[in-house]
Parts: sequence; C-alpha cells; structure tokens
Amino acid sequence: MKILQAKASKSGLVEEMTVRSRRNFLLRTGAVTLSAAGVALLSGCANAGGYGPDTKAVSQDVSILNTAIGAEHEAVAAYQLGAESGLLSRDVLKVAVQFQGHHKEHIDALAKAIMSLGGAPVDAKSDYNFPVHKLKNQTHVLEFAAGLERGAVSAYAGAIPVFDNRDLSLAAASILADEAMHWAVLRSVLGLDPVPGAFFS
Amino acid sequence: MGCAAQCVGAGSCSRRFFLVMFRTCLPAVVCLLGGMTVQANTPVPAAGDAARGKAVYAQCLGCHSPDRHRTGPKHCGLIGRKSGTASGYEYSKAMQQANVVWSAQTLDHFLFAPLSFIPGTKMGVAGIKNAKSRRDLIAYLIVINEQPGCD
Repeated sequence: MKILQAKASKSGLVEEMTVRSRRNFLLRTGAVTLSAAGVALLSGCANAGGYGPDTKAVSQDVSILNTAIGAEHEAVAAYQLGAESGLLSRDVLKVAVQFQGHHKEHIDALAKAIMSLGGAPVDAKSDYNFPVHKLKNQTHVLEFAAGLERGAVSAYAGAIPVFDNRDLSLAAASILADEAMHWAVLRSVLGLDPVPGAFFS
Repeated sequence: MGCAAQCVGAGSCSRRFFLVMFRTCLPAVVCLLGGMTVQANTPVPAAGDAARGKAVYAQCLGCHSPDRHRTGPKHCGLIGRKSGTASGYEYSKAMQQANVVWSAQTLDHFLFAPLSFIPGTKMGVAGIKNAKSRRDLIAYLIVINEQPGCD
C-alpha cells in the first residue's frame, strides 16, 4: 500500500481516485469465497465405487490429491508468515488472512476426499525454508504470495486432466478458480494487470 | 547416423565437432550406463531459449523452486543427477526406483508426460505438450542447474 499511497501523493486527484478504487476493489474481492459447492464436490465425489478394477487409478488420484494438499499447506504457512511479518497494512492483512482461510478449506476438502478413498493425507511440514531474508516490505510479501498463487493455478491446471475420477477434476477446477482470483487480486494490489492474458497455463 | 557411431568417429574430427558430439552423445551414454528405458537413438532435443524458458518455469513454481525443496524437489543440481536422489527430499518409490539420469533428453520425455514416463511419480500433471516450450524450459533448467549456493 505504500507504493499506492506514494503514487497518490505524486499525481493528485486522479491518482488518488485510482488508489481508492483499487483499495475498494481489494476489499470487495476479499469478500469472495469459494462456494460451498466446491467443498461438497470434493467430499461427495470421493466414491471409490466410481473406479474400475484397477486400483492404480485410485492410488494415482490419491497421490495427486496429496501433492495438492502439500502445496496448500505451504500456502497456509506462507500467509501465516506474511501475517506475522508486520509488513502488511491493515487492509492487506485482512485479505491475506481470508485467503489463508480459503487454503485451509481446500486442505480440509482434499483430506476428506483422500480419506474416503482409503488414503492418508499428508501433514504440513515443520519448516518450509521460506526466503524470509528477501521479504523486506509489503510488496515483497505480496509478490511472494502472488508467485505461490500463480504456481498453484498451474499445478491444478496440470492435474485436472490426469485425475481418473472426473468428479475430482471438476472439484480441482473449482479450487483453481479460487487460486486464480487470489492471484488476480494480489496482482491488482501490486499495481499489475490483474488478468494479463486470455489464456493461462 | 546413430549417436554411438558418431561418437566413435569423433576422434578424427575437429575439436568443435568433438564438442558437439560430446554434448549430443553424453545424455545417451549416461542413459545407457544407467540402464534406463529411454532409447539411446532418441534424438536429443534442440537447444531452447532460456529466457523464454524462465517464463515457462512459472508453471513449475506451484511445487518447485530452483534452490529449495518444496512440494517438489529443488531444481539446481538436477542435470546429471540420478532420479530420486536429491538429499533432503522425500521421493515417491516410483521415482526412487526409476533409474533415470536427468539430461535434456530424459527431461524432454518426462516433461511431455510425467505419469507415463514414471508411473507413480508425485508429479501428477498432464505435462507440457508443446515441444518448443519443453526445449525452452529445459534450457532454463540448465541455466539454474549450477547456480551459486546450490548444494
């Protein structure tokens, strides 16, 4: 927000309006939450009876879900790091905590799906070895978070086609949309084009 | 001409030719020594654009980092490393038992379809189907392979 405030003081009313608009955008989009349908999809889709006789398909889906949980745990830890850094403004902190809550919801839903398939969800690591020394201001923290969210979008986009259970693909798409919204909001706060292209991979 | 035949003839060629042959044949030789399943006469992918590869690498950043293990293993030190052997990372059994040495050639196969190349890998993604994107990404992986601070 320091960057945004600096811009406002430089260029007068028009810039200030832009800043206010961006802040309002941040607050409004922060209120967006993953629909309950997404969670229901994950917990409801985990029906082992939907698989054929090949148990490898189930174990592969469980493995993919666990990879997703691993990344979600890392995101939760990263937002915790940001929240405790003292570098985030009040508005940004509020949204960061909300985004962290979304990732926690993803973990809960993914874990339920794994357990219903007879698997065991992975736990969070004790240490993620984050590059803390590179996070010296709010912009750095937001860039770091945006990178994680952007990567998460790619990871889900890559996983969606390889689930054997297509209901899991559908649910992963729901989570992907949520991650993409996070990424767009973070980019907007950073002063970047929130939606830089028509396609994404 | 097969790669092995080219290597045999390299001794009578210019130094430049030898270097080209060395770079071309090394992955295949490493593959053969490692007993892996990739065919030795599979063409080595042409060199890519590392700058473009850096942009492609953004797709990997959900799970990987150049210099620290995350959901996936770190990438510095990858080239020339045997699969499943980076210390401090917990690999799948499939990756530990894959017996692949990572080179431009093996990475090209893996990145095209990870789950087909090494069934059971944790890298549960469809893969990069565009050959040029794979070449560019591999070029970037080569750049970060020996970055300072990588152990």
